Amino acid sequence: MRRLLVLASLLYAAHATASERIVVGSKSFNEGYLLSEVIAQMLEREGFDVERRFGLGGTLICYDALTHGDIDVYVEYTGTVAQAVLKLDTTPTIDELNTALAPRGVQLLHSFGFDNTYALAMKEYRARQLRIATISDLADRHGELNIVVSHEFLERGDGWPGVARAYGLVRTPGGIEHGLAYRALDDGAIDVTDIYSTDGEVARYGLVVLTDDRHFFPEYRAAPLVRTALSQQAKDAMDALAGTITAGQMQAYNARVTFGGISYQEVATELLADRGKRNDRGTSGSIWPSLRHNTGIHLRLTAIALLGAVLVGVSLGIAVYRIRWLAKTTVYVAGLMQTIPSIALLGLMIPLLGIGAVPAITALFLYSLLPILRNTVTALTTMDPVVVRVALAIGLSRVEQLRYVHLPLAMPAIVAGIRTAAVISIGTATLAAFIGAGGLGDPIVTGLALNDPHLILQGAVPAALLAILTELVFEGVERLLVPRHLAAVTHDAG
Amino acid sequence: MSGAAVELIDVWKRFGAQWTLESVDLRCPEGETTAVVGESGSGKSTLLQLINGVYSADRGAVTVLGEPVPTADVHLWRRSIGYAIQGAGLFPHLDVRNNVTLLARLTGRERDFIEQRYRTLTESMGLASDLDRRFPHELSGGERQRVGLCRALMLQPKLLLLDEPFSALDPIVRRDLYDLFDRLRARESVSTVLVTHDPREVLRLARHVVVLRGGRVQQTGPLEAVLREPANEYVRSLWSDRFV
Repeated sequence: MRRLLVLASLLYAAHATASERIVVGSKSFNEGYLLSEVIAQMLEREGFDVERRFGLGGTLICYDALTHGDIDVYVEYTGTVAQAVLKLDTTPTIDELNTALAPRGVQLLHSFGFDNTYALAMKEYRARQLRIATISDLADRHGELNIVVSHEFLERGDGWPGVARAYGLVRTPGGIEHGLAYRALDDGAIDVTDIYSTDGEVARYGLVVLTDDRHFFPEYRAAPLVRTALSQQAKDAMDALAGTITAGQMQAYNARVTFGGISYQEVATELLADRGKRNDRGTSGSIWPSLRHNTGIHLRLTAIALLGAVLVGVSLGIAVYRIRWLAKTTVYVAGLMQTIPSIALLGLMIPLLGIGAVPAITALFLYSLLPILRNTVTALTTMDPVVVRVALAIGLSRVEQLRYVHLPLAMPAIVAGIRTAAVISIGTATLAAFIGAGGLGDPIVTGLALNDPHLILQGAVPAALLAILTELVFEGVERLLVPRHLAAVTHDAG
Repeated sequence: MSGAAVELIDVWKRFGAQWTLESVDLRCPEGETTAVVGESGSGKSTLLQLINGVYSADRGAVTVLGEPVPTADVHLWRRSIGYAIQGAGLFPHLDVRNNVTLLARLTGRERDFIEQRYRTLTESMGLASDLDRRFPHELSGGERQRVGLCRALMLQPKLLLLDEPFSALDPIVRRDLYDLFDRLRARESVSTVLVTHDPREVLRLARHVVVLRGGRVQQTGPLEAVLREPANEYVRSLWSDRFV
């Protein structure tokens, strides 16, 4: 046993050299993508083998994926680690956070420098006009200003109620959709709103961030959150940009992604080049390789899930249909499964199976099961009772009844169930990207996070085409498998 | 006295709390057609399914040609008993030939036997060979029933059970079918139990009769004897009503 352990650690040590494979994850919003891509490119420069699993939803999914070892690193914010992960009221330093994180096998590396916290902002010219530079300045004059903040900020303890207490702001502001606030500021409809301090919109709309002179807002310093087990070389490579990005610079990079029509990969390359770290790995301009790649993954996810669902659904249907109450219960349970929203089902898979293809296929499998199982059971329980009785009475064995009479009669409904399951799976598989399984959902998730309609279409159009193609293929399959006279006989079973 | 094709001795059968058959004693002579006549709910279909082992009796003994209905591998038992039912119950996904020969092929009968037997039966039942490849939904009701009877006789059964096979047919078709069937049955000399609710059918096809009512046997014996000396008013009314 001990020898085995030694061998394993030797292998591990050998593995943890420059050819070490590192899985980089990201949250699904623009800065998350951008900084994770920066990390990925830095690692590639140093010769590491990098796998990207971007757009993994929010903190919960990313952190879970990290502690399960499904990813090795993603970019997190100190305030989020303190509040969402460690459930602290204060935001300690990175060193203090690392002490608390140590038992969990993860650690924060050095921060990139900037602080992406909540902040209050106003138009630059208006601030100059009114001589407002800090929140204290704002407090002195807030009676004259139209302050409108996002609904979430209005409610959160670390939002308006806290700021108001810290600075003695007495007026309660109005609420607005965050997305509309920038436009309202720009139009002069409102004077002050809450923002994230590195939003690309700050530069775009000519805003100024008011200094939090009483240090009310917790710090949200961005830093790579890594598995402690990673090699020192890998950690060093990711630490190379420590303290080199200011909030203003981050705003500008974010703006280039959000408004400049430049992909986050290209902006990441720029960001590295600006810091003397050229990356020779050119980004491909053509969408075809990624389209082919994503479609391949998409088909694989769907096909494996569907195949499993056919095997299990049809066998289960056959196993239970003779016992009425069991058949009913089985269909009912499979139906319950279907009522779980797909995104929630995918989320539920994470604690059980981590992220990636396995939980995605499992979720798709569970979704595909119902239509196949239900159609199988319904078809087998609604067969012409006279035919069923004859099959029994002329002396066919149980297996023969099933093989030569029941199944052929149920076939049209079963095929129809498989067809429904296939189309549902292809649609639902686009959500699999949220848990890092890839596929055509990848560009959709990224496009949604980056507000990039082109990217969304790169996933949505092929997914829709795939669904239509599946319909057509199954029409052909039905024509082959189901003779006309049978289609008429058992059509109502579906 | 020749042996009994089917014999039931003090047979009881119930579903839930309801007795469907109570103390049934009967004897169907070998080589003849015995009609079990009764209205719906009399237990006559249940009776057939006790004979082919679909149901088992709660009490009493059921034997076919002296052998009791087995409890294991009952499907093998059923293979030696032909079965035809109202509406024929043909397999909709199989053509005429495959409907008739399915079991013969599954039990590994020789091709020559199957072909010859199929040809003999269909010809006797007046089925033209251009129907071989037709599917059930392409046949008339009478044709379907003929195919059903051919299927029942395919494996040269020692006993034939008929569950109102002629009921749903119109009178002219039925009359033709009576003739065809009776001739074929006589040639095959197969013992037959015919369940029916139609007293005229009994007169036309049976030599022996069992009158069943509410799960109890009212009278059993040769047809002439039952007609001559009905055991009770119910039996008398069965035939008298229709001939007044």
